[in-house]
Amino acid sequence: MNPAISTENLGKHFGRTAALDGVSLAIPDGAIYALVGRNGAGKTTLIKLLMNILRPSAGSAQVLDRDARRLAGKGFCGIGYVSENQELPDWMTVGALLDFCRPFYPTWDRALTEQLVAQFDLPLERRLRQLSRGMRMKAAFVSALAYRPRLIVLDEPFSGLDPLVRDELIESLLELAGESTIFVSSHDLAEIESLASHVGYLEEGHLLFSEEMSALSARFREVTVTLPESAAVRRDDPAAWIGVEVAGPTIHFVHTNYDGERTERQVAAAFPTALSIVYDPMPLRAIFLAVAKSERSRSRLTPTNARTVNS
Amino acid sequence: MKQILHIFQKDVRRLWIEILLAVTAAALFAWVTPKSWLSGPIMVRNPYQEIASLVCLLVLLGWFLLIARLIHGEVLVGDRQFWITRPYEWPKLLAAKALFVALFIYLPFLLMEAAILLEAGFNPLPYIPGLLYRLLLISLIFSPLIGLAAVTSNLARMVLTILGVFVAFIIVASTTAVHFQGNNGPVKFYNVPLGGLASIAVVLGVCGAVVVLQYAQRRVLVARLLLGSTPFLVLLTSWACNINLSVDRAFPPAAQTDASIIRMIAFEQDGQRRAAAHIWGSSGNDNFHNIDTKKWTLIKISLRASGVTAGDRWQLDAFRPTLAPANGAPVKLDWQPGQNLFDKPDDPNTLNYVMLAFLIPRSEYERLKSSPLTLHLDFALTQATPARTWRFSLPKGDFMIPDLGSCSAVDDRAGQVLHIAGVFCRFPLRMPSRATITALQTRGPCELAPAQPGDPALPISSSIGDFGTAPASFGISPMEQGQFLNAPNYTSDPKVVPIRLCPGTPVVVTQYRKVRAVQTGITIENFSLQGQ
Repeated sequence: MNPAISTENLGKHFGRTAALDGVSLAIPDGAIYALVGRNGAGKTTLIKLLMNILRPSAGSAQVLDRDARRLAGKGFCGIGYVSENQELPDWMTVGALLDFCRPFYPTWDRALTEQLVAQFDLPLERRLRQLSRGMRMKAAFVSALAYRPRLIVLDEPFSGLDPLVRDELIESLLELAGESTIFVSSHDLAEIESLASHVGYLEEGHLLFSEEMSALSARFREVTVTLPESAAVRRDDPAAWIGVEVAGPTIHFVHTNYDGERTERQVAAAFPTALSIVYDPMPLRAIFLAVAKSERSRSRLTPTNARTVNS
Repeated sequence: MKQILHIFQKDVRRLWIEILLAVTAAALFAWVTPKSWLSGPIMVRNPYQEIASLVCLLVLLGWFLLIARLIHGEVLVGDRQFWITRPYEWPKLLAAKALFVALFIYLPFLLMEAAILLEAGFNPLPYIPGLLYRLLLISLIFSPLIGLAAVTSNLARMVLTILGVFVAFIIVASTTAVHFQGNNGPVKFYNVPLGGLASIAVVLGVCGAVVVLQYAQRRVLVARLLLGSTPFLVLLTSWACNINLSVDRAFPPAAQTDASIIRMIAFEQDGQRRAAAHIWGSSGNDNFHNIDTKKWTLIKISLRASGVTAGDRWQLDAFRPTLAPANGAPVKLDWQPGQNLFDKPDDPNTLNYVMLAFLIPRSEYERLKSSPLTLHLDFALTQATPARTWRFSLPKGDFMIPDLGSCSAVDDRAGQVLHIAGVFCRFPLRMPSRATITALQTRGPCELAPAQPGDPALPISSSIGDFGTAPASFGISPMEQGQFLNAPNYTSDPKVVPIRLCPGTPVVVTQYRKVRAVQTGITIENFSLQGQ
């Protein structure tokens, strides 16, 4: 089956600034893909390129087997897009918004609409401009989910929402998981950790990795090496080791390509006098922090170097 | 079609207040315009004229607001709009907007025009082609507005852009006004609409392209550049279809065998008669008031017209002077506008004069003034012949000239005297094909002796209209107004017996039809600028 979304060397420049550079990824059908990265990393730009809101400066993107540059009109019947910055027709009531959207979608599900309205406790007679941010986001969600889109694209959908609303929205998304591919961007790792099956990490317009969550968790290990005496600062660590820190006789680093015994043998060979070597699995947040720190220090030293973390 | 109607209904629901405002303003304009027409005493202020002007502004404002809000309902600038990731099909979105404009702007405009025509005494049905043509002309207002709305994100930005364009226009106009006013004059060649039509096509074409580009691809920068280039494209078009080209195309040279035309206009050699003609013709130089004499010099030339066939009427539409000194570069000007009319005088002893006036740069005047010059003048002439004639006694108040116009013979003051100060007429959709009105004036009060044919009364005559072929002219009101006859009959000197135009005097209105347009010319040797 073709991926729901795929990009090939996708790039976007605003003048001399590269907002996105050479991004290649493939999101399998049915995945819940979390695109994470700091503010300004290029997440929104990537989503806007996928939604044909912006035109790419380089590369190409396919969305639901369609060239993203040709995505228009009926092509959006199978896509539900919600963004934190979206300008809704504020003059409409919630009910009018849903009534207005319905004829555009042949697959609009009235029962699902009613269910979501009830679930979100949405006031149908209130104008959108009179609603709180959370309620507006809920209304946007209903208008984007009610037709059971094949692809749901969410740009920072939970940003600034209170935890209760966020949980409600995540719950509604999870109910649709399986029948839809979900692409969600966020800079909050905690909110997507429970949600995502795949994850991609953007840093300053570069996609540092993009893979299944389980594979990511499996290949990252926090390694602690204890030596008999204080260690010297090492300068020739393998590229797969990032964030190497020496504290007396203890060396900490993150192994980005851990694959069990083979990795452990290589590390043991690097530290033949080690008293102990401990491999700890890392939570998603710790992985991203390690990668981000490593990238930052690397870009400070050699800003033009290749940036992909070994995997 | 379902999507078109769906979006259309949404826009109607959203903009019902704006629709109500625009339609009410149009209805108000249809009601107040006939009341603003001059029919009472000339000196009495008609308050409806000011109200009509205000309502006209209201109509324009209503259209502006409606168009801006309509297009901004689905903003085409920016990347955060809700609708751009929904299954809108752009041709259907555009069609929905077009349907809205057609139903709530064009249709009310058409009905408003028809109502005003009806009120003026004209059945609108025969004028439908002209009314539709006026819809095309009024698109010259709507198209740039729609184009501008398509490249701005909200009403405030659109207003600021319009103000910016207006200020830029004022600056450009103020720096080029002398040139336009002085060298070419306020040119109005009804017979040569080439540049005008091309410019209309450019405006409509560019605005249409901007709108389609925005709806199809939302290429804001390209669309803005394109829209911004419109004035330059219009200037370029005007330059390409320049006045010389237009006049040369519309007025082919007279055949060499047509000696009567070639010799029709001659230089008045007699200095005394020339001076007299200058005084007589000085009122024809209204185009040249407030001249900067440090930069420009006004040249006036009297020419005599003769040999006109009885019944014919000739119009000098334009002339082109070339002044060549014996040594040095000649001064060759563009075609200058002329509105002189001449025919065969009733009295064979009366001389027919044609007064030409034009500006040359002061520096050129200083260079040429003391040298004998060869002056060559090209003339663009239209020959006309009577097509229809109406004869009637001049009534007081409102009256119709069937199939021509609705007129009002007005007093100087309310209810004081019986005489008529002028005849004002309103014509449907455009000024009529050139028409002349002739009446007889009475010496003394009208109460005593209304003028009759054969009375020792003074004839008074004037003309109105042109030989243009366009079915309608540009404007909001479908009635063109003009003073057909001016009879100034008030004098403060009690010793002078005033000459008056009295009700009941016989009037002859003759409408002419164009026979042909030709170009001819004369060369005057040993012409001196100082002698003129």
